[in-house]
Amino acid sequence: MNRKTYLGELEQMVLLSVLRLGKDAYASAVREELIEQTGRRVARGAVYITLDRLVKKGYLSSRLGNTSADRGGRANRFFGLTREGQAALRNARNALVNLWTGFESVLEDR
Amino acid sequence: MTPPRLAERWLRKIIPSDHAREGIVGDLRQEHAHVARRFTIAVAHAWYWFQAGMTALSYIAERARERRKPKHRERGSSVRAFWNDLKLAARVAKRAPVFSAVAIVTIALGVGATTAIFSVVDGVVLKPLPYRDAPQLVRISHTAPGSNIDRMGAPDGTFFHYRENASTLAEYALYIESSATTDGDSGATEEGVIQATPSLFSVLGVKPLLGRLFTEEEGQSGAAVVVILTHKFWMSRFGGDSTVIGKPLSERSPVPIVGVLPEWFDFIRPEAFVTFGNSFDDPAIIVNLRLQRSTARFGNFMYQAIGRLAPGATAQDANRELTTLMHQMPELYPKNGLTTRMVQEGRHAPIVEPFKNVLVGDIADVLWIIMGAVGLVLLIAMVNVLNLFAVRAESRRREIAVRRALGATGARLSQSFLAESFLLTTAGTVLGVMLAASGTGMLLRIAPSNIPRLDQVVLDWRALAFAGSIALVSALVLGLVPVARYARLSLAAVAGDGSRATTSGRERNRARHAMVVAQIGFAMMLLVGSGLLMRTFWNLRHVEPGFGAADVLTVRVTLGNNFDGPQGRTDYLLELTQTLEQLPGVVEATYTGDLPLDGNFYHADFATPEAIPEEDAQAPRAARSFIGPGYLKAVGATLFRGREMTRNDYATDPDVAVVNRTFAEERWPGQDPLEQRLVQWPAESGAWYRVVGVVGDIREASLAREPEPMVYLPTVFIPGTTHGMFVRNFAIVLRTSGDPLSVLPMVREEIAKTNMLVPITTVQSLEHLKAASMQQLSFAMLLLVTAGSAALLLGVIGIYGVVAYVVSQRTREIGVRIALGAQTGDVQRMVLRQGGIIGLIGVAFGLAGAAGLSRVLESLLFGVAGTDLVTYAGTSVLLLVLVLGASFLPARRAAAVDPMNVLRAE
Repeated sequence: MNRKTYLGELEQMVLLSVLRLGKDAYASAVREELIEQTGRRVARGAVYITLDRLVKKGYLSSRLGNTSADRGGRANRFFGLTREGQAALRNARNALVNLWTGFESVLEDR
Repeated sequence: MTPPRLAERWLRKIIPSDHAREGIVGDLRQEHAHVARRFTIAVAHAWYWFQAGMTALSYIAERARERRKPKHRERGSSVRAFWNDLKLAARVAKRAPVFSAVAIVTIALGVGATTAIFSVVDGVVLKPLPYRDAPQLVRISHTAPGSNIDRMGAPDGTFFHYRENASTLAEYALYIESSATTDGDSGATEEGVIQATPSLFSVLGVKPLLGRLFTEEEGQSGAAVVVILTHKFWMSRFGGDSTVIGKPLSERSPVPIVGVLPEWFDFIRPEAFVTFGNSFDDPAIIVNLRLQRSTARFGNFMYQAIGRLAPGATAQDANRELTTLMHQMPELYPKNGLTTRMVQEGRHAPIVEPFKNVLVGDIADVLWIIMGAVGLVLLIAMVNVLNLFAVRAESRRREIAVRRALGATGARLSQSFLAESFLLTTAGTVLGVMLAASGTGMLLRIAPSNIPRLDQVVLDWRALAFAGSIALVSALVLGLVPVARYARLSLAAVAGDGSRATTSGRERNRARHAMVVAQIGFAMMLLVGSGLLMRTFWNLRHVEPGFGAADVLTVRVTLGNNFDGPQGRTDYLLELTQTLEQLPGVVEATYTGDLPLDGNFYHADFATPEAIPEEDAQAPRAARSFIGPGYLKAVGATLFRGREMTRNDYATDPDVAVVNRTFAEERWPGQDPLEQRLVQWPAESGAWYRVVGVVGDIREASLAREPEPMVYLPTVFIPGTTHGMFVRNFAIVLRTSGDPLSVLPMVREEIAKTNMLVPITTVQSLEHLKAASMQQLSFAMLLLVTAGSAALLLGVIGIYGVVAYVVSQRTREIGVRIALGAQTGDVQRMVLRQGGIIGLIGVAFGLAGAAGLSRVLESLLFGVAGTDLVTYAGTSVLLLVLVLGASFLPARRAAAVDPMNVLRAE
């Protein structure tokens, strides 16, 4: 599919959070990073769902990490950006930047 | 430190499994442990519940959102998509012409046959009568099982009593059928007449086309006679002349015409109502029936009664009410009628039944049976087509799997296959409807004329709707079968199919076998049904009718008012037959008032000196026929004792009678019936008859009905009695030496010579009469046999298909077996055994089904039980032989498999 699909807002943020977390991008961490950086109290479910959607779209890859007693034997899932995901982020940002061009003045909150 | 188990379980239920459920649950656990360490367990649990709840909510919301989102659609509307599917389907069909042709033809045959029969069933049974609110029409008759009377009409007393007092009947009318002689273009003709009370028209809800209907006054005694014409008669006799109102009916009957009925008015007479041995297809005129209250009786149940139920009343309600009313009648109408004691002893009772049932009656059963049979054939045909589709679908497994891998959903696949089945089914249905049109026409041509309402049989929108629904259901079933079976297979499973028969393969085969078993079962049922009917037919044909039917010609005549009373009629007939006897080719000539096998005829009560009934009781009933001298010999009855009545008797000593064996044995058991005396009861003076002969029982009513006691009386008028007064319709009976019909022209001439005004109504040979009485049965049989043969053919094809297919599936196995040393015989036996097993199971089912079916057929059977061993055994053997025969070819082919080829292809 060559069509450029644009990322939803939450999807962008999640991708970026994963990017920021690098190796430690597991689900709950992504959520915490999001909350911390954006000040937005995202519902846990929303994050999980978005993560899965992004994996389905091929923008994220996931792998299983280690288990621990705390987790009741369930492995942790780690996420990482795929090349497509990076491209999607890039596209999204470029689109926004283009649209913003000339209106940086709005950025200054009057 | 585990989180609350309930919450976790619920959470796991809500999160779809492909959403990394375990990861989420694990995350929550971890955090739960974290919170528990920082605070207390209680807090942690509460926290968990909250989190679980929130997460669950997200997933539920997500699910809802997914569902609302429009599915990813291909370009274009769904209609265009379907059109594309159709085009593709057409291409697919063209690529497999044999398959398509066979499917289309089979569907056409199935749909066509069923629709044709449906149109007959619809016209005769289902469609409502053309009258207003037809379901409210009821027929009122009476029964008296205690006096041996199964069914009789209503007396004129009921016109006053029931009509005025029954709240469950909105209207009540009496009518009686008779005939009248009028002038036609080519001499005198006899026309059917209905005498009816004026209320008949309000019962039926009829308005006149021209003129008016009868007034209430015209229904009273003393009123002038007027006539209303039926539409058909108006067109044929008066050419549709609109100035006919007020004109006289004809020269010899200058009765004024007051009205003309509309075209749709078709007064269909219930079959049981055929008097005087004459039956007319359509009555020509309606005459006002004048009744007199002061002489109305509760006796002589000779009228037919029809009524309209009051709104909200049912036939049962009316029955109850009329029973009460009837029991009041002996007191209210004591003159010349039944007494209370007679009513009790005879167990008289009124019967109220829907008018349509009466009319359609027995024939409905026959038609439904035929419909069921044809329906079975349709099922068998459909199973064949289903098999065809299934086989084809199997060969397209790979295609289906590939399409699924490419992303086609189940819905998409269904659509595409439905388009294919839709195309073929539509083609088959269109062809089938054309077949049905000609089929219906053919059925109408061969149908016996005594099936009522045949004019309603037409291939109209109802039949088309019927065909359409069959087509729709078939299309759905046929289209969805391949999807249901194969849509789940993944490409991997299919691509690796060089392997052995998988379990799914065995399942498929079992389903196919089951279908063929069903086919054979159905075919068996049909064949047994046909077999039973054929034996019934055979039995009936060979029933001893009690008379010799060969070489006898019957010519019906009506002697009108221009003869000098009943004696004048007898004199004329005696003279006429004497003349006719002189004609070349005529061996004997005589006459009778009733012909055998003609349907109904009269009954009367007879008493003997040994058994004179008391004051108010009834005498036992017997059938009665007025005949001419030598009649019994002419029709070939067997004389057991004594002699027949002769011309001499007629001239000098007419107090003689002949009885049949049943009567003699009933009244004078163990005694010599000769010289015994009998009288018609209530007796009129001087009317005692002397028995001079006893004949064998003649099957007067129908071949299937047991003969009743019968008394034959001369037509001689005995002064002081009313016997024989009203018989005007006779049949001249001629025994010929050659072809009966060859003497007809001479007979006509003779009759015309003697009296120009004697109309001849029907001419038949007795042989024809006999055949006519079996008309309905032969019709049913013909259809059933056709259905049975079609079923057999289709079933055999089905078996062949299955066995051939199984063989082709097992080619490798067979090859291996042969390579390992199996002989041709062994292989053949193996295949035959497979076919045989299927056949046996099918026959077993068929036997069970046939036993059930035969219970339905029971009313039609004669001389053969529904569980007749010979028929069942014979059909089973026949089917098994055919099944084995159908397996024979595949068996041969199996044996001819070259193991080298097979193994090489591995």
